[in-house]
Amino acid sequence: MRRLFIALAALGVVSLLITACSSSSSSSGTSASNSSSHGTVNVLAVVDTSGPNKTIGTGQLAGIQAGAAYLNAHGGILGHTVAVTVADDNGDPTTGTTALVQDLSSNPTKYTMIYGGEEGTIVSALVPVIARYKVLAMAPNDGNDLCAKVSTCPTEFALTGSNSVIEVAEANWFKSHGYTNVGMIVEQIAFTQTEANYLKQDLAQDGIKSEIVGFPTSATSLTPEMSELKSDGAQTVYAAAFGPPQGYILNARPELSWQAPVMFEAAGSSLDIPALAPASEMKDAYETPFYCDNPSVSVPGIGMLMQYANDATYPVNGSLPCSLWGQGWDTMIALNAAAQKAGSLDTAALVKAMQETKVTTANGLIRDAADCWTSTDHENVCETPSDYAVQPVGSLVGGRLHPLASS
Amino acid sequence: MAITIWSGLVLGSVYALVAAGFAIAMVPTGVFNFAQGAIVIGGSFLTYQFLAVTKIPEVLAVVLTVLFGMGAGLLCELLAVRPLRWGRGTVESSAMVTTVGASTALIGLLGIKWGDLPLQVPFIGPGGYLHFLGVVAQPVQVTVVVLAVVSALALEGFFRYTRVGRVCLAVAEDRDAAMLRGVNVSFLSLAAFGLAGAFGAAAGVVIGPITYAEPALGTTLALYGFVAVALGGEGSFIGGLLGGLVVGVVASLAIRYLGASYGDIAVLALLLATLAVRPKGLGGFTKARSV
Repeated sequence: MRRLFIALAALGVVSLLITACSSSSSSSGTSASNSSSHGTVNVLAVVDTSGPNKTIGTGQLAGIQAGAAYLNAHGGILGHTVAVTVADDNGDPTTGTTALVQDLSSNPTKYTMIYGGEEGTIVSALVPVIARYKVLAMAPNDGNDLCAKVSTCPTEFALTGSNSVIEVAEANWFKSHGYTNVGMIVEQIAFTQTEANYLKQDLAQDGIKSEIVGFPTSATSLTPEMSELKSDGAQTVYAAAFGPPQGYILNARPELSWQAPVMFEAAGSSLDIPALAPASEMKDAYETPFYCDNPSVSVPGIGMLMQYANDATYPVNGSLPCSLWGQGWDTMIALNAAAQKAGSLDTAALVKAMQETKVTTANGLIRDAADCWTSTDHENVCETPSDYAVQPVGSLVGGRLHPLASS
Repeated sequence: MAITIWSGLVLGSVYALVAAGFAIAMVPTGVFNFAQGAIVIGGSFLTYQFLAVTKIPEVLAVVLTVLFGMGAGLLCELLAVRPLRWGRGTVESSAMVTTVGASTALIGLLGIKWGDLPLQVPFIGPGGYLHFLGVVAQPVQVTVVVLAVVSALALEGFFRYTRVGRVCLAVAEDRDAAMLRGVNVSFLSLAAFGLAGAFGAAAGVVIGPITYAEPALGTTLALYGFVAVALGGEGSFIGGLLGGLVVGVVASLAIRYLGASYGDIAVLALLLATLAVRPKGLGGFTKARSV
């Protein structure tokens, strides 16, 4: 009995230790010098590199770093070298906010730009801090609608449009295929839960019934959850999950003798899903891909930056995965475009220029058809649901999308 | 219902295999090695490496994987447990902290080597699906369930009915007394950790094709394996098997019939209820015995 109590007590210690070990707010990076005095454009990336959103955060960070490398290889920004510093938010708003406040409070002018969080919950937590210190910032989304108002986000810009642009595209797909009951299987992390709730609202507007079944990140099988959706009469499944759970979902279908089509949400589509299950289980599996076009195969969809990955001028020629890298990359390209327009690295000038800049694929460097903002809307007003297309799951080989032969 | 129970049995067997690894090291040393989950996942990663990347013969892949596990287990004992015996504190409780450190280090190394994205581990056996008793099962799932049952029975028999096994139990009962009777407890501790590591890595060979190889799973397996041990009883292999299977089946049934949020709640409620009635768990061994 005594040993058991010791064991249980130690379990508590273990849990605390694990939490403590994985919630480091320390930052590391390549530079921390003042941009004007040392000729360096400093960019701080507040992203999750160790917690539940690390798949997203590390992907976005890789894009930021690739963008910095590209710009540095092409003369930098207005002649200044770009340096990227990383602050790990551990997928936790409090950790991210603490790290950012500590960093900015000592020197608010330290950074030319901040990449403020990898997903909505983190972004929304960082928005007030960024507004207080008046630093130019970009984020992958609008922080659950916070940046729809310029007064809330005076110096911050979202790479995506108003809430649910992607989910509207996904809801349109369900509607166009005649589904009236969508089962949603959702990993219990803030990002996927937020995305699923947006889709649920969009589906409801289209008169489509939906049921959300959540599962913890520690799940090692999702057959019971899929069984629940099947018994609820779901005709198709929307899967908001990262990594192994995506495979568990695909594996559950044959075990349940249930061939309901599965659609993986956009961020999860960044992963190489076909690597998680036999090719036979990819039948009726779809994704909303952030992918690169394969010039040898005609595939509609968004024009992700990675279509230029094999361009001879690209710093990591041909070796990029098609992933959320694009959001980080676009940030750097937009910063450069604004700086060129402003002719300055002053925050006020950059904000003004950003509001007047429209970055398009014409320059061959961004993922969307166009990224743009206005003086009254700091969301990406150029993004529309038509930028996204639901596609059969495809393999990622050599940095390019290769649809499966069967699809 | 049959599909849900089968799914729970498979999951429970995974936990039972982890629990068996815990027990191998625990019986002669009293130490709960939290790095066992990381060693299991390390076995999965190596299986992936050997079969999917370097493509060496399957038997050689298994042998090398088991050797890795043995080495990892030995290092755990030498670096995370043995130094504690030089001090004056309680080794059993202190080792829980140091083995968590070993687990964190090993998981970190796995992440550095193979990254954080999941890898599909090839199964050494047939593919496809089997149909029986109203369920559709993969051969690897059947393998895991059979292996969990057979290994629990074999290990229980080994520790109860062989001379070496009974010596281990003697050390567990009273380490000092066993030393006075000439038992080399230092070697026994090393051997137990080595065997536990080898067993864990071997389990990873068959668990990997079900769970994928991903560093974070090391912590998950350790925690659920711990629950299986607590439920089944410290030091009991049959108890660990029962504990694992109960955890898996109860979680699956709760998720299916109560809702996805109730899986862990049901398992913890069952654990607390079991410990209230049977503090030693379902199969914890009795202290008083003749050895």
